[in-house]
Amino acid sequence: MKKLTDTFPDSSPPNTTASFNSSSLKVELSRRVFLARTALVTAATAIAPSLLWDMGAAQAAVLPNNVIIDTLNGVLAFTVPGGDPYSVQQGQTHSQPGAIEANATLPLMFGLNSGGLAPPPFDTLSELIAFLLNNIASSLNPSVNGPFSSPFANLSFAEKAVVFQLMESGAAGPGLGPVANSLLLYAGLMAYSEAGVLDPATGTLVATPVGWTISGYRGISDGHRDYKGYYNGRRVALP
Amino acid sequence: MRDVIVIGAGGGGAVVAKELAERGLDVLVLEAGPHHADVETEWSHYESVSQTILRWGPADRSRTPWRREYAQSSTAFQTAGVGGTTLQYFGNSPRAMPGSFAGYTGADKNAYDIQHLFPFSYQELIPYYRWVEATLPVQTAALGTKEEVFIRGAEAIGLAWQSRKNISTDSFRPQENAILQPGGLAGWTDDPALLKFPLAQGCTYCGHCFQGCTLPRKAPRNLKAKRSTYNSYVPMALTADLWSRGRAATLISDAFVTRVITDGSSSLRATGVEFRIGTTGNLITETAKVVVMACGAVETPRLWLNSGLPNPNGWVGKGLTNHATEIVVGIMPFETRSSVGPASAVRADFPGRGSLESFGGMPGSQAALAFLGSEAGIAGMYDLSPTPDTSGADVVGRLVGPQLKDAMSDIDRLLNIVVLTDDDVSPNNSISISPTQPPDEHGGVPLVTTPSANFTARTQANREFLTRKAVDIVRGAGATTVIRAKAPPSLIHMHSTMRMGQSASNSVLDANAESRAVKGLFIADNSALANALGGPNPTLTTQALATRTAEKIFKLYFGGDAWVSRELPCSSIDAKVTAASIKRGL
Repeated sequence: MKKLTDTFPDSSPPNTTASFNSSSLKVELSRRVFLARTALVTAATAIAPSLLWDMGAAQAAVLPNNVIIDTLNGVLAFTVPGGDPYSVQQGQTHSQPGAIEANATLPLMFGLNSGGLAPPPFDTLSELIAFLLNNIASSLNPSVNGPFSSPFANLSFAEKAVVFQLMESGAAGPGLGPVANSLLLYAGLMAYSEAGVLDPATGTLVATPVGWTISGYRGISDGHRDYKGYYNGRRVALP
Repeated sequence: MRDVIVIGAGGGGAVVAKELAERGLDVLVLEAGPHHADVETEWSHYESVSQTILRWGPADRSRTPWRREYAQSSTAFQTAGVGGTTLQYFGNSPRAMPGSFAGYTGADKNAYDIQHLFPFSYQELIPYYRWVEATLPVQTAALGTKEEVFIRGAEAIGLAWQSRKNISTDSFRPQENAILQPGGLAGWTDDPALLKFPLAQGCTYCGHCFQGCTLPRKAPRNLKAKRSTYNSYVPMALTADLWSRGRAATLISDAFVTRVITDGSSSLRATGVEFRIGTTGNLITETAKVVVMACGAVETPRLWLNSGLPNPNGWVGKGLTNHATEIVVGIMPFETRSSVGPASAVRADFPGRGSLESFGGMPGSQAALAFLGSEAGIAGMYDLSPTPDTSGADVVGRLVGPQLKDAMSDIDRLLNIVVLTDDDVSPNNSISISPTQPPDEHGGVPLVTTPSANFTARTQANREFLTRKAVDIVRGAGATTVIRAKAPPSLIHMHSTMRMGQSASNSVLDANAESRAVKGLFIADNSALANALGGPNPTLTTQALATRTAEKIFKLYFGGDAWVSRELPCSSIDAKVTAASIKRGL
């Protein structure tokens, strides 16, 4: 079996400070970050309300919707890459399908947006997240270019890692570590759950969840045959 | 005027309600969340759906969860609704470490949080443990594949088998779980048609503890496998007139208490509560001789502070312990069946250090909680750890991209262990009212502060010791790769934020669990615990303590006698309770 430690044989992270000037960004972020921290971390405990999907609730006031979606897709492809265009753009694909193929985008967006309030001028938390990630991405690599409307989504896999490093280290502003942690955690939760193929009207699956397939999960059940008896035959602990 | 108002129908409040209803008192229980009527149709095994139903939020699912603020990368696991967080807990019911109590004289007595011991002895609590263990009931867990793998690892590193309930030495054992063990065809078949009560009884090995236990299907409410208080203590409280000589408690759900009302100037006395009905927004006042706060380790101090109750020594909300959790995962070259069976059915305990326990579940939670939450950063890319790893794990930090996909390539070949550290009470870890968040409809919003930077040296040393043991166990069991997330505190266990203590200078409650500052006001949830119990899961100890507190209330305020030492408890699965629950339409 391939060891995880072999996954990045050439993984020497790019220089994280040489090209990054964070002073102006810090000012921009500091007045918003406390709300982002609260709302996103709260959101991370409340998985997407799949039964309540409503595209109208995701409309953004500041960023066009396609920018938000591209940004979230960039996060999803970074977390669980597959054969999708976002994975191709970051230069890190995978032979098995990933989060984009799992239809995790809308569950992620609606999960974020239902998890808490976004501070003005943002309408939604996903919009605020997109703003943060794209601002840091543009500061990290001002010449970033690519097919997507989101600078973050056009970064390489290693550059995306640096974006999260800047957030978690505090270099991109105070209090962004919990945002980065929760966002990645939440993206993985969406990718590996059944949220992307759950019919909100019936509460049933319209396809086998990608997350189940790529994790070997056999599906929900009312029970399994796995009873192995009692250790040393002892059914009751001594008082 | 009621005799007693209990705020919260969770793990502790439901215990007080049942015990005092059985004694014939007029008990009103107020629960902020919903009272689910038919869990077989209302709940779902799908994790994305379940998390919208079992959550910290209002009964109306179209509304957002109730807000909280966190000062670190962690979230509190808490469920609103009748049953509280026991709706989602794993049912693990070990007793506490004896060294966490006053009067302990073992050779390792200085290994515990000796500045914050319980104000009475472990021996004094044992009769209450037995009472709760018989009522729920608590049973020794049967094994499945993942439990056998864990035990192979524990045996490989030389741990002894613990065959007793009381913890005395470094050891492993099957969990003592508040789960009815498999009976009939349960555990023997995958066929849903055969997994209906009474053909199947007890745990069916479905693997959905975290999504709420609805099984076996067709079982009466009090005979569902996992013994949440929804299934056990609440039905007993609501039918106390039918199975005992008591008086049925009254339950109002969707009722969020926003203020504890007091009377008196020089000597405050609790006289009632004000609560808000979620669907209407109406505010209602009820009075009582005694008020019991059981809202959980976050909400009880929040309610205290929002009520403007006194805080003379500054310890309201202070001293949050959370077991400084960590997660270790082994990738096995053979099947573990991690996604099936009870979420956690085997453990190891290390007196003076803490505990380890296996866990499993569904793939979304597995990826998120075991691999993606980290304070170290992304494995192989950057490391923000303040201290070097000493665990011996092959991979340290968060997995993303191909690393995550490799680790998640077969969920049923993983062996997960969660570290439950005996962490120290510290005033730096706290629940307070957020200075930056606007109040919600219930008042000031709680701020949860417990960064790992606040760990004491003993807490940090214990956590590293236990993590090394966890790595050794999964490697001893045959792991080809061992991963340590360096996770932030996950807040699956939260306690001691309104702690009882030996000293009035650093505790909120006296030895009876009554507030030192407000008479007639008791606390019966995890916040009342004096410390982190030495590492074991808190629910059983909270329930034993709540039983003891119910006795204290009955003696101090209603002139009654204690009963635990002279009566036998009625089990929640007794035929009388089943008949009573069915008759009352529960």
